[in-house]
Amino acid sequence: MDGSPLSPDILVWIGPVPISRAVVTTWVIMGVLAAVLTATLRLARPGSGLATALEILVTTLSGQIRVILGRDPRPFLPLLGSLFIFIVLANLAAVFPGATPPTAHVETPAALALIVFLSVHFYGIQAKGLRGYLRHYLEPNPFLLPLNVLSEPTRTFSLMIRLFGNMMSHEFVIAIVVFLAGLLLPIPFLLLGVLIGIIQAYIFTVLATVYIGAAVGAVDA
Amino acid sequence: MEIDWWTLAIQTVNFLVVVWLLSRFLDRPVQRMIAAREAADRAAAEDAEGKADEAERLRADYERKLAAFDEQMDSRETELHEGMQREREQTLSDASQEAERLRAAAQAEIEETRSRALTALRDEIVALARDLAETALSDAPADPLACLQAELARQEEADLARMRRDLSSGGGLTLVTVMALSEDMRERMCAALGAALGDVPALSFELDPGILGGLRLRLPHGELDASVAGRLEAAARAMAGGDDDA
Repeated sequence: MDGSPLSPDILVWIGPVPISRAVVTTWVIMGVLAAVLTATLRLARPGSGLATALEILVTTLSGQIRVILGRDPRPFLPLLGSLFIFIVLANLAAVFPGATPPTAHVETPAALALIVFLSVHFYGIQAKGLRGYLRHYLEPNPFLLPLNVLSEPTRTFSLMIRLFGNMMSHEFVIAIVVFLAGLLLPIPFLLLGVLIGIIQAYIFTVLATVYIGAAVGAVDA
Repeated sequence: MEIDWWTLAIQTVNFLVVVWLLSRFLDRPVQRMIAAREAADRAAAEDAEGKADEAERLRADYERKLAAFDEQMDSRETELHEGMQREREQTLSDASQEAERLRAAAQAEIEETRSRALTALRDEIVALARDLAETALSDAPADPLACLQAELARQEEADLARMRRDLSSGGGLTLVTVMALSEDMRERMCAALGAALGDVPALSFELDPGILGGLRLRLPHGELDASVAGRLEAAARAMAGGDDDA
């Protein structure tokens, strides 16, 4: 790691492309996720406990999204469900020794916020059409157009910074406590980090759902 | 703080891959599982509804059969009661006819027994009458004089003495016969009486067909009965006394 703790921790270069620790951690998470999902689907028989657990996970996410959007959650479930699951797993990577959560580096929250930003416009245009979607910037008053336009990048930026700041600061706190107090004292902070990681994932997903909901408009499911 | 744009791009792609992974290996299979389970639930619900309908149909069928059974039971009970009533009436009729037959048979038997008893009684009466007549007439002489003499001969001396005293106290003798006697027969009668009783006062003669035969001698205070009617009455009294003894 170079002088700034906020700089990407580059592990290897593939040509001009730097492969950072966050990217590697993300690949590990993706690999574990793919393996677990494949094994789970292979083992899950209809009506089994495993299948029931998967159903509970998916239906719970669908229920939360339905409550916020007020419409059929199935078109949005792959994106929003993936956001929650990925952020939870990325945040919980801190509990493994030597691993740092990818969300503690700004590129990952920025990537997630960028995808949310693009998805909001995609779903908005898909639901209302281009003119209808653009018209919502004039509501409730055309004089609010600048603020409405400005809110788009700012809320996306806040979405990114909220996740990045919480996870980065948590990493710093753990590092400082380890530096000052030794090896065992950070354990309660690690447990607190688990809670923070789940809460941040929930907040990020809920805010993304709210943004998408505002773009598509509430429609009875 | 600096942003590594390569890392940003790679993480963006990584997340899109994650979205594809979860959509491919979690969302779609679980949605299929949910759809299959919901289909199974619907099928189970429809099956349950079908079974409920079948159960309702069976219950209705059962109630219909039960009602038919009750109706059949009522019908059979009515038929049974009617049969019992007919059987009772038939039994009463048979018993009445049997009783009537027995009563008629008993009546016929009684009539036959009574007829036989009457016949036997009549025969016995005839036999008794014959015996009575034989008894009354067996020693009765046809000649009035012989009859008088035989009757006087049967009298004890004490009786003859009492008859003489009766004659001596005054009064006459009356001789009752069935047929009128000739003058000669009257004289011979007086002679026979005189021989037995001594002096005979005035003897009068009287006809009485009711004595049937023989004669009857009336004294002032007595009577000597040698008539057939008297014999019959004596025989009858003797028979009656014998029956009483029997």
